[in-house]
Amino acid sequence: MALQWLWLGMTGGSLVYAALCGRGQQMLAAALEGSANAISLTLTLGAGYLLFCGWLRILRALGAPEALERLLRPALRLLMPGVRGKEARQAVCMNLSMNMLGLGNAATPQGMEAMRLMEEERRKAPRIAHDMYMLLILNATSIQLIPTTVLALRVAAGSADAGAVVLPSLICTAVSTAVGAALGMLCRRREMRHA
Amino acid sequence: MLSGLIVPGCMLAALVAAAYRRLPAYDLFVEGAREGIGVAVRVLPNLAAMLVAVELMRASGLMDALCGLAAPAFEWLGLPGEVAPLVLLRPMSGSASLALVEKLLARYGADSRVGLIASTVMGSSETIFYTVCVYMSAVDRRATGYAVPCSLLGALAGTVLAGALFR
Repeated sequence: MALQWLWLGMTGGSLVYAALCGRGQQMLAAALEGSANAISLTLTLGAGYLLFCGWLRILRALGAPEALERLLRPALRLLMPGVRGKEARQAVCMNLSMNMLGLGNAATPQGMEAMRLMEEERRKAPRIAHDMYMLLILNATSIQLIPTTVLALRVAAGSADAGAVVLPSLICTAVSTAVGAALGMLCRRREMRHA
Repeated sequence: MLSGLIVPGCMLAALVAAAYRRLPAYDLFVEGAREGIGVAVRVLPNLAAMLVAVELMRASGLMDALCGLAAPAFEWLGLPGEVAPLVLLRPMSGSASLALVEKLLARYGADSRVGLIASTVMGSSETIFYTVCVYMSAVDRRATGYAVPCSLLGALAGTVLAGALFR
């Protein structure tokens, strides 16, 4: 729902605004450029997916997801209590830990796998939808330990103290995740009460 | 950097462990990489939809108009108006916001207040709409419930805090 309206607002709003400003001529080129961007981004991302999915398959054969799931079980019980399936829980744990390491490309396939498995569970237990929202929130406000790309940009811009933003970034990302997750838990509780 | 060493280290550890347990590491890698193709194929149409919308907003001038409207609100939250475009763009496009950070650092200096806040905002947040889009592409459903507003408010809290940390 939200995505539908968001997308409608973004595209429709832009087209109307462009028409009002007399920029209608440039819209087709811009739209094509957008979809060209999607192709080049998919190629970049796809290279990461191939590499990390291959590597993660080895880790899976070694039993890493099971070990990680045992380690993160208390946190999971608090944030996403509705996930029953072991495989789904393991995928969630892999997804979150890859994210923390700043490996978005490795986290994405795991997150998608987790969403797919949770969607399967949803038929029997509709409440798991809340856990799916929580996974989205945790990923969309991701906790990243070290912002490597930004540091590289700061060094390139001639910063005298490029690392000055590491601790503030960590604090801000932790707060954003905590606020997002807390709001998510509030919404969950409210909707459950009304249901 | 740290993650530059952690990842190769983990890879090495996994390979050593696989060799020790006589697991077919090569076959496993190929099998996994094949799954990776599927992920990329699933993601592409969703990315196309989102990036077309972003590009339209940029080219139509709607993005700039929104930034102009939002600047006073950001000043009120204790953030310099110069970072308003970054805060608005950040949830929509990772590459565009990264380019904007580069521009802000060049213009105001990496160690200025604007530069520090811009770096912190960029380093502490995620491309929210893109993330939600990509993850939802795994299921054939579009219901994201309260996930997007909660994520946006969380990101806003982090952004306001960044402004407060660099007074």
